Amino acid sequence: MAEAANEGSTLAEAVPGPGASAGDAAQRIRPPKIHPLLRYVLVRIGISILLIWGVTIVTFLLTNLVPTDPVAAILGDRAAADPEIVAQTRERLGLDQPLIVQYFTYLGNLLQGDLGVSNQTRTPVLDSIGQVFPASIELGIGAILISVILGLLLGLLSALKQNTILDHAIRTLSLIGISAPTFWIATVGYFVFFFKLRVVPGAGRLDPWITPPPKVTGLYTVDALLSGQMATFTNALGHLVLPSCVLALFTIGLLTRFSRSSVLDVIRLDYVTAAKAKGLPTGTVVFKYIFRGALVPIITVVGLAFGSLLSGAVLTETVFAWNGIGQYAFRGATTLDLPVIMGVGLVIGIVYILVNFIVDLIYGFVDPRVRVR
Amino acid sequence: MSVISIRDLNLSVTTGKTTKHILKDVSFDLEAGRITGVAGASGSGKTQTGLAVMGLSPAGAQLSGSIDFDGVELVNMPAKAHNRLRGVQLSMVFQDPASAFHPMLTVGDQITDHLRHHQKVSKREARERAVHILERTKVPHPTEAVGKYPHQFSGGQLQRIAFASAIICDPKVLIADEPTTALDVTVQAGILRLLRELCDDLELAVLLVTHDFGVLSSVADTIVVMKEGVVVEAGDREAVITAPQHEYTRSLIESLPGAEVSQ
Amino acid sequence: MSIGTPKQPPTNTNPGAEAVPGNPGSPGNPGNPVDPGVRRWTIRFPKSLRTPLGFVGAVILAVWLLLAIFAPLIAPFDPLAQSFSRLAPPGGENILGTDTLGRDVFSRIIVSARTTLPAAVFVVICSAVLGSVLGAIAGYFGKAVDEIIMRIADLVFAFPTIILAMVIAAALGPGLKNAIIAILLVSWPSYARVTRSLVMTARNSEYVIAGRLLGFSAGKSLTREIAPNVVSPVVVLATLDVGSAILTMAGLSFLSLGVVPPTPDWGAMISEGVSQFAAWWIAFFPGLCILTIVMAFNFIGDSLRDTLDPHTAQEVGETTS
Repeated sequence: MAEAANEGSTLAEAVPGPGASAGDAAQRIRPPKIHPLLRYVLVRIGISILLIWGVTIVTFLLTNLVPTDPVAAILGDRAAADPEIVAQTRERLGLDQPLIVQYFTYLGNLLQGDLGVSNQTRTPVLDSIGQVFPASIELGIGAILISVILGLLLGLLSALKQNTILDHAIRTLSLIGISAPTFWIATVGYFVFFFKLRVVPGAGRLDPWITPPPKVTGLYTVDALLSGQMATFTNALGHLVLPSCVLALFTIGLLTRFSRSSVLDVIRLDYVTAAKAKGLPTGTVVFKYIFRGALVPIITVVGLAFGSLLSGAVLTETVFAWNGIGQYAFRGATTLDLPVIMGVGLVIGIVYILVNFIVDLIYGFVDPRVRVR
Repeated sequence: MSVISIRDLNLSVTTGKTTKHILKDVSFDLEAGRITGVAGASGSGKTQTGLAVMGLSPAGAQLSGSIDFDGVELVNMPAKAHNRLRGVQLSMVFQDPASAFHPMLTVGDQITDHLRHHQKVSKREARERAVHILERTKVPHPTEAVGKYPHQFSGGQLQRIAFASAIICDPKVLIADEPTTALDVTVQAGILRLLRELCDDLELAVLLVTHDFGVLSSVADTIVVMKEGVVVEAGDREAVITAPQHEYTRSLIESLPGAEVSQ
Repeated sequence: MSIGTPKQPPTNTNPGAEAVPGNPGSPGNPGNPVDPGVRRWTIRFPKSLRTPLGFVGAVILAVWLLLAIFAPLIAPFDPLAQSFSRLAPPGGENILGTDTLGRDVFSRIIVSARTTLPAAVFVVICSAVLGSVLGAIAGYFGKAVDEIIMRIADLVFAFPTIILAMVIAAALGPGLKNAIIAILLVSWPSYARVTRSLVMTARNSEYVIAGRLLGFSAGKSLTREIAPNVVSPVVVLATLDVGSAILTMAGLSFLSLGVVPPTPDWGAMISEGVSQFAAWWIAFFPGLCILTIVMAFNFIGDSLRDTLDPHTAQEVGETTS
């Protein structure tokens, strides 16, 4: 047993770092005797907080360093011509303070939930975003479900049938998928499936004669189910189909391409040959060994895909008259309502960071090399 | 008596428009309770011979000749039938134990999933068999080991687990592809000793593939020397080592460390 | 890993693979420090484009380039003249119909290529140069410089691309120039990341170290020895990126943050068509233009990427959006 003891001594070094993306930061910091998973989570939390802080700096600088004069925008042309009123307003807004002081004021306001007031409607930006956000969440969940399921399956199929006609077809289609402007697909899809074929309901989240379900989560489908209104549920679901499919198109292409290359990387690994050498049925080899191995890198891309869904939402919600953050942003952009645009940018930036944080956590829990010591 | 007899085995692989001949008229036998060692440089086709027995030749490979396994012809056998033999009658251990195990599945799961598939054994019984077989291959703390993940073991321990996985269904043939190459020199001898014991106790017909002639001279009963897809020499260990017939074999023996001293 | 084992993929999919960069981390020949990189300056573009997709992409792109160059000769009418009946359907005098102000859609989409294409190529070249230079500096000098540059890059990655571009463009005010600045600011980090990691591997490779021992200056080792490893991945990334730049630009004009009316622009035309469902042609044809041209760049970029070494290709990534 001397040999076994010898092997045991190398056990401590045999623990590899977590995956590449997680490893960089996690390996540099080495406090003694913290469970690796806890350390991993703490590092991820730290990175996310730093990023969110950075995002506030970006929106602050963009609001304050731009050529357009905020005072003029607030006061309107006539008042802006009066230097005294301008000076008073500058003082009232704190614009005479040094930039760093202004930043901390801004940050303090943000922490209290004050994202400014829309120049157009005079309503607080955070309130408006809070009202419309559930609509976007509902759309986003629909789209991410469709794109993850289809993207992974198509990518897996494409890789397993590498260099066949099916593979070439899937690769070409996914390239076309990431080449189409989402807002155009939305317009065409709406025209074809609603205007011509009438197979999907029209714009909006519900038919106009249906009252929204009592608000619990703000997601109409969920709220309708919670209150037992089946008719409302089917209607809301019907309205969800086309927008989420359109929105998913780009991410399906993205995930298909990524999961194909991820599966191809795994297929040639030894453990797949070893699984085949054990005489396991093809289904077990594919799903238990290949797919599970390919899934880890794919998980990290889902966060990225969510980012392109958020971008897509800003560009498509208007087409479907979907009263979410995208339509709010579109209105803000077309009227150059700076507080609205910055508020949307800040909120989407933070949501994106949080989603990636969650994705990193899932990654950590899925991979035993991170989870178990 | 021979369990596997390979006769005039040819293997060529076509990629695109080029065809490569990997094995040319390879013939030798594997016998129960004996270790047949195949030596040769990289690219000599020794690994491909093992994979051909397993039916795991690469895509685009054409096989001809004969691999007789207890009266069953393995060359160009239907994939499904071959799959029923793999893991049960024919088993294999790979070069690098760290990459031959799935990093996200427990060791216990990976050494029993083929047992459960082939012999329809219950989960609990599979676990008991796993613990038992890990004891057999001298993995420390077998009861805890089944619940652990591959990264929690050292290379030598993992290779022992790989041997456990290979013999759990009581196979007749074991193909060991460079089983010690990726390991520390200090644990290589232990793994070879284990291979010898398993071969003797379980009456296994072992095909030991290695580029290391030193390994063969210590553990193999029969030695087959391959070069560029051709068997250049085959015979009992004593005969091949003391009186090599072929130039290439002689050069392999002379390149062994300490060769000059022993002569 | 011995060559005799079957770990290599049985089929080699890229016949042109040997012509393009090998693994940048390969040590090369320490005795001859300049040699391993030099051949890599050449990407065999024509050979890479012999894949069906690459060929189709090249043909579509060529057609678009001709259309853009000869637009004044091809466009039948003045794209700004409101001289026709409004919302005339395709066919007849206006082959692709007219818009809400009675302008010829065909003339407008042809002329729009003259702004979109050069602007997209320009912004991609600028961000590739900027990003690569910053990435090379970060990767070569490391330490504080590296930290600062890469943390800024992380910050840009903290936003979805179009959102950040929207925020920047809105802050700067609408207009083509500001849209270009916005896209430049959001797209340089991907080049910085790729270049940085390539430079870091190359810097630690034996032939570069050998060069430094021979007394090469930092500048010489960056330009003569390291740059060859970086150029082709960056070219591939840039090709794929032209597509994203066109999409982002169209998105910005869709949000009225890009090209200012009445200058014809695909994104703005689609925006106009959203409220005009009966007149489907207003939005349909400009979108088709964006689709085909982005597709062309993606097809070309994809087949170029296939001829790259797999490790490098992974750096360049499947996800350049």
